Amino acid sequence: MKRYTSYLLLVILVLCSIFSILSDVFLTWGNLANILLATSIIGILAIGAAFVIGSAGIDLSVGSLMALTGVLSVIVVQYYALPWFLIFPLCLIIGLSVGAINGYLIGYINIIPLVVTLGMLSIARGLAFIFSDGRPIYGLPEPLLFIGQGSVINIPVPIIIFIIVGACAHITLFHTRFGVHNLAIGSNEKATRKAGILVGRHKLFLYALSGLLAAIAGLLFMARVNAADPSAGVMYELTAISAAIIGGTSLFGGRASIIGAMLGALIMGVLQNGLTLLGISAYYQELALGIVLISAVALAQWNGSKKT
Amino acid sequence: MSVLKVNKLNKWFGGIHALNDISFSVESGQIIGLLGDNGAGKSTLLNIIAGNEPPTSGSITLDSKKFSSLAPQKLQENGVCVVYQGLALCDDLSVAENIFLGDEITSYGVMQRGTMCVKAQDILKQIGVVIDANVIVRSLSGGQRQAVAFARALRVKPKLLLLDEPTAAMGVKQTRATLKLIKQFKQNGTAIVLISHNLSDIMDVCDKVIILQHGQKLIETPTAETSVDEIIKIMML
Repeated sequence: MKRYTSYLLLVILVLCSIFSILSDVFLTWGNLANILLATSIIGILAIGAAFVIGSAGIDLSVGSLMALTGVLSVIVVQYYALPWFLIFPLCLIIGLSVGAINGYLIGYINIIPLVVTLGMLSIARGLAFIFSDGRPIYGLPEPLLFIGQGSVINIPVPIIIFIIVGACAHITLFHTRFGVHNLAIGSNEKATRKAGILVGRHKLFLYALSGLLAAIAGLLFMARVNAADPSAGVMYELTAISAAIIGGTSLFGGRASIIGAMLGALIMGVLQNGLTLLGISAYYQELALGIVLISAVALAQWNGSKKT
Repeated sequence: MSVLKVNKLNKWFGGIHALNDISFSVESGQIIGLLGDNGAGKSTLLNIIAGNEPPTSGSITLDSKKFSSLAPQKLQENGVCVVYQGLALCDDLSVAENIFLGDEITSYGVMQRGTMCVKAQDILKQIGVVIDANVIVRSLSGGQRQAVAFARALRVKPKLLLLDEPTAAMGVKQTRATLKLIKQFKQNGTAIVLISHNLSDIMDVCDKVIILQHGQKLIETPTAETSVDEIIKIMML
């Protein structure tokens, strides 16, 4: 996995070199900060995807959940005239709860993750539109915007949050029982059950964690665009899954990398930003991202087959 | 005193009577060998005792506690360890992580991989195997994987050890070390149920042998009162 991470770093370096030659703007601090800002939201979702895919699961509901957590928390605070800062815990609790419902259905009722989270994708998006009447809610409280637009020692807050979330996730995945059990489930669920691990309970916590991360991404998005938008995060789940896979997380479970997922998100961010600066149309950008995804999986498989 | 008492256990799979009124008991420091052809019901019996499948009827008494089925986690808490024929390993985890799966050593919530590796290495040494405990299980040979599966059961001192073909993929040296270890467990008072196709293994370490055929118990006899030839004769009936 370390060797694969160095390949990812190399890819980022090569992409940056190419774009900095082709565009004068690319290597400016303002543009790099833009890339990192865009990466931070997808990156947080990709971290969640690395956990879930590492357990041989999938969570397609995170993009819709981003929208629902933002819309619902703002509406509740406005409707009940609650203090603005309650948007934070409300948003996180909603994400955690919806994720836990996913986890309960997957872990205890044994419905396959694809079906549960695809259903939740639709339910969460529908609820976001119903609660907001299909319109974005503007005029969020000024202090809330700080987490999306503010900076500390010249470093934008979303980037700081992204790095903190990444560090916590890395420790959780590789240095705690939860992380090892997660990869064990992805590697061989039956064996993990036989080892006495409560797989159903683990999945409940896992999808709750994924929901929590979606809520954090939703908060950042909302604070960045200064609106609780019911159409926020459309297709973000697929970008996040792609970033996790590019980062070396195995679609079959058992292997995952948080640093890889973060770098995967960065590669996609660099690519999108660079191509936009070069004036390449969004259609071709989609094409490029698809090629990167397939190449990354091929590289990961080749890397894996060399090891075994 | 019996550590394990199996009482009139029955298991039906659709129309197939996989286990038919099976009863036996294992005492502390006793090794029972389960013999039988493929499909005789040995693994089904072991899976029921290990809590992986519920019986259709009958009961199991473990240390005077009677139950029809217990979850694997509860069984582990009650000192029951299992080595499965299908190995039940996680290929993507390291040797140490597999050996300690479900019982990882942590300090303030953080896994102590160094300590786990040292302890895993010690356990492996006991069965005469030298493997780097940091290595991913996927890269091991069949015999090494079997050794890891066996070592996992040995990390705790079990009251009851259930062994499903523990030496099946092992070489001569490893098999000898494993049988020696099984005897050590017996001396320490562990009750053991051993499934094996290897008759000489059974005769070497077991106190009693039970022969199963088509889910029925054909015979239960002390190994001292029988011979390999006699067992083969019964099995060929």
